[in-house]
Amino acid sequence: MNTRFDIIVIGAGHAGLEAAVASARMGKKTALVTLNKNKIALMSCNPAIGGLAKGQLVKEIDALGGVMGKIIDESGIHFKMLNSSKGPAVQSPRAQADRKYYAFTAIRFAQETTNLTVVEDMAVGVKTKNGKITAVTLLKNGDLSCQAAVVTAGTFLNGVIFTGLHRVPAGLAGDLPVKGLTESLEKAGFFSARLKTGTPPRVHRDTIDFSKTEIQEPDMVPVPFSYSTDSIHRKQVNCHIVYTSETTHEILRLGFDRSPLFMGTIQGAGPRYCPSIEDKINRFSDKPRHQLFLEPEGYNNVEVYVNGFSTSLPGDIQERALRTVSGLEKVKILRLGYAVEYDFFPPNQLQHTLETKQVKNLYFAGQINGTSGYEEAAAQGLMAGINAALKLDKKERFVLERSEAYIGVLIDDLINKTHDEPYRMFTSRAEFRLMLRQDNADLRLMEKGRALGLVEEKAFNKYQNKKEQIHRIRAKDLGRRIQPAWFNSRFAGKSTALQQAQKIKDLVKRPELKLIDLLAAVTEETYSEAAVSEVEYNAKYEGYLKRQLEQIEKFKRVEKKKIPEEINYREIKALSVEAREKLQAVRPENLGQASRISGVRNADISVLVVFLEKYRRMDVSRET
Amino acid sequence: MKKTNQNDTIIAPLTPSVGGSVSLLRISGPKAVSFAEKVFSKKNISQREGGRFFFGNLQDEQGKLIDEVVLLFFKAPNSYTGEDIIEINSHANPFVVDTIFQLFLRLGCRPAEPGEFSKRAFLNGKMDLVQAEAVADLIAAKSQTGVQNSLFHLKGKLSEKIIKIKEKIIQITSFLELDLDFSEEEIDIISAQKASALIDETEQEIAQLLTTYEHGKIITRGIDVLITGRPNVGKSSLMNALLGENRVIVSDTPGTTRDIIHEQTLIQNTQVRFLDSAGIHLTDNSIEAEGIGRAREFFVKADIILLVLDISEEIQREDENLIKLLSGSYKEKTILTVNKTDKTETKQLEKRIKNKLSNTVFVSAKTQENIDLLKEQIIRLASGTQPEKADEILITNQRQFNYLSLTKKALQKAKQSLEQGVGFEFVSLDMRAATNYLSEITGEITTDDLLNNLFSNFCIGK
Repeated sequence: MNTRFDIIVIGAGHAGLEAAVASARMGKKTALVTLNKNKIALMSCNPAIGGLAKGQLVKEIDALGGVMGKIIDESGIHFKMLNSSKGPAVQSPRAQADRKYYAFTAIRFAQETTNLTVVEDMAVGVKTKNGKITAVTLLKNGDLSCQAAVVTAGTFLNGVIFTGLHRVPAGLAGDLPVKGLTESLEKAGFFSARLKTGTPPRVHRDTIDFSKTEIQEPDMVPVPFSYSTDSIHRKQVNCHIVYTSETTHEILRLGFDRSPLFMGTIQGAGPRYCPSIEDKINRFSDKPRHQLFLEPEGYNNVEVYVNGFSTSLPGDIQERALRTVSGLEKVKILRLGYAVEYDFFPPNQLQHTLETKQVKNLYFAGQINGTSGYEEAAAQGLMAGINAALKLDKKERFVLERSEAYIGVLIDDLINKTHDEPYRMFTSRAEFRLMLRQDNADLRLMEKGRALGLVEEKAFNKYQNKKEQIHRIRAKDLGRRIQPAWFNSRFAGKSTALQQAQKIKDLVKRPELKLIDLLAAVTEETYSEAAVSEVEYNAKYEGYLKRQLEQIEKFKRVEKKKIPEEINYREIKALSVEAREKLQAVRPENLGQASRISGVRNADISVLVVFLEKYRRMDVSRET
Repeated sequence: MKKTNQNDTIIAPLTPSVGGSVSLLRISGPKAVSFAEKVFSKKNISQREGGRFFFGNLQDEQGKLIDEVVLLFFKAPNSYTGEDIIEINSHANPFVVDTIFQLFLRLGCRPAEPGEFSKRAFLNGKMDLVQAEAVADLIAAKSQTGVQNSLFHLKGKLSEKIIKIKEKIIQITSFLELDLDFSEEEIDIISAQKASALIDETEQEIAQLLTTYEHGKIITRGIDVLITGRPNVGKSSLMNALLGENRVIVSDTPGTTRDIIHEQTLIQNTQVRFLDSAGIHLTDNSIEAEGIGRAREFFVKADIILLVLDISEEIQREDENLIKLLSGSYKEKTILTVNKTDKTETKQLEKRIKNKLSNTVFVSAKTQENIDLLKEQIIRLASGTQPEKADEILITNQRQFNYLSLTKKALQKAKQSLEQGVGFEFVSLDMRAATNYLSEITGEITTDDLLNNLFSNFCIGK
């Protein structure tokens, strides 16, 4: 085997795949190291991609030329646009996947990518020279040399799985944990901590009485994730909903004395947004029932994922409790639920490019940075892969602002905030979310993806066509007037009658009117739905969007104020003690970032401004 | 988001809010001159050289006279901050100073942050490097004391109150966010009406707090005292005794609220104004007469009424009329001031007026006997006669008032959005703005606060 690569990606989960494909497509000879060649981009938890805020991430990944959207479009079996009754800014696509077919498609993507070699082995260490990565040590194959490496090890670093009193070292169910890599990274100067996450039991499809369940249907017309997918033709299947009862909760409580969560065996903090069932009944004991989603894992897969029943209680309790649920009386568990505890590296050790501050050309992405979710992982993987390739080419780094993309919010939050639970994306984390819609990810990012060489011709042409249509509607049609006769005959009783002709751009502000209907009065042209809805949104909510844009302008002004790297915060006594320590640890790149670090206050920023000026003047006097 | 914008125009008083006879306000920034030109009687300041001063009248937007002032103009870069600076010397009447301050806020100024003039001075190269450290320390120190003064006075009650309001707003915002980020969960979602009602409730609380700014300014705004009594009981000498050496000369500018103010002084650092009672005459039959109407106006206007009796003489009909009148609805703010104790030891009067008025002080304007006691009574009673109780939370600080007003406006916008039926994501825009304004008073907010609130209150997560 060849032992010299440009870039080595350690771990072939969702982050690893994006990183490896991006770097290979950008012309870098890339190795993707994985424990098992047949487990690439495995959906180790729930068999779904997207969801609120996460759907936006997938669209952004796709607009930049990533693969996640394409894979789910091929393997999705239940597409649903969440929040479809709400405004475009908070709508998000989600799809249940055929789990096996998703991984199969991912493997195909990896194989079809030129410059990309999949290496089946375990990475146990990194080698550095002069503070720069030089090689990755593999268990079987020894050292592979590289110019850059991306670590996307997921939950595998010193992973321990808990089910009741059982405690097994493992990465995920059935996989070996990775030992040695954490220690090797610590030796290189990094510090690690522990986090916890969990997964529910998988049950046998044929042991469920579906007649007792509520049916959740997919959308009639599935909307694809990827801008390069025209439409989804695969057969769509239903999900089902059942409910726990007080009896279920009583049985679960019987297992509390064998719960690794309550006994303190698990040290790492778990995600509050994805609590285990025992945590839910413990903290919200007045809630008489909890919803469980029965999610099929595929067309030809008998496994059903019991979403909402994540647990690390003992196996006997899991089964007895599930069998009290109406519809699950005879249920057979195929795989038990478990909690997994793993090492992560607090992400304030990273720069915005996801390159570590400690070791040059070494990047971290995904769960190793304390995030949860396939989408969050994939987004980081893509950004790390892109930046590693750019750095080898000595090109300018690629960083997205908070005002441009959820990906920007994600990475900025990771490196600035203090994290004591796995980080998941929410729309409420994005202060500029009115601008960051799932349906305008192409307008926001595709030109950037194209410039990086990651977006294919077909998708880009589609984008250009949409952009051109948007321009035409704005320039030609919005200013046209609608005559009262036409309007009043069509909208009698639905909208206040017109006394005189009015411009479309003013009329469209009426909540009850749709742009597409108004355009019919003035043009024969058929515009794409995407173009029309883009123009409509901006016209309808002009006032709010203008204010959001002003906020963005203000944000950017502060973001431009760079902070020199060599500044020693410990010497600035006027800063509060907490701010000194936090700033010293994070070492923000600019004033805006400094202001977002937990523990830094207004007065500290004022003090910083003064000191930045002092440094600037000292620099000037040195030069002259 | 934090404010570090150097391009706006800022304002702050340079002199303490009480004491002294002249008050100085500084306005610094690119729009200082154009703002001043809008409200100052002399125009074309910008065309003059810097370092000049101008006499003139300061008027509000409606052209109503506020005060006669001296205005100083320093042209950038030859000023303290290196920017255009306007300094306004007005009379040291806190009411006037505050009116001017408010006027400039309406024009577009922002209250200066602690140490901000010095900071700008440094950033614009008006100070050398050695001073950088000092400026940084100054900002740190001022923001410390600022926090103490503004937040933790009144035993932290105001601070508690504002934090509570902020929590409420975060709570309501969480309800909205819940619908956006967790609509898939089996959770009751708040209705627009309910959200609107909750916002309204919070808005009322802020409105109430804002009204206390008026009362909160009792210390800075001062007290209006009416000295009344029949002729020759010693009203003038009593006033002179109270005025002492702190007498303040007041201009007789017509058309201002001060046109009925006779004299001013400082008592226990509080501005005390004596209303001119020249118009009040209560002769024998006047209780029923029309003169009573005018008298009532004064009784209502005054924070404190000193009803002066002469202990050396018998009580007369007019005295009794006044006692009768003032022991009614004005009882709480009236001090029966029994003068000329130097002339007699007789306490017969005491018996006759007993139970008529609870606040009685025996003084001698001539010998100054008990004048200090009377002063104390005036202040004590004035604080007590405020419509609010003693433990009422008051805003006394201009910055607090400003940011609370902005918060209220943002809440109103959020309510409008709810009424128009737009999505919660748009409502949230203003709710977040409201939280950010309050954070300018209390410290920091991040979206984490929102999420923390959600996670602790709702059973979320599949």
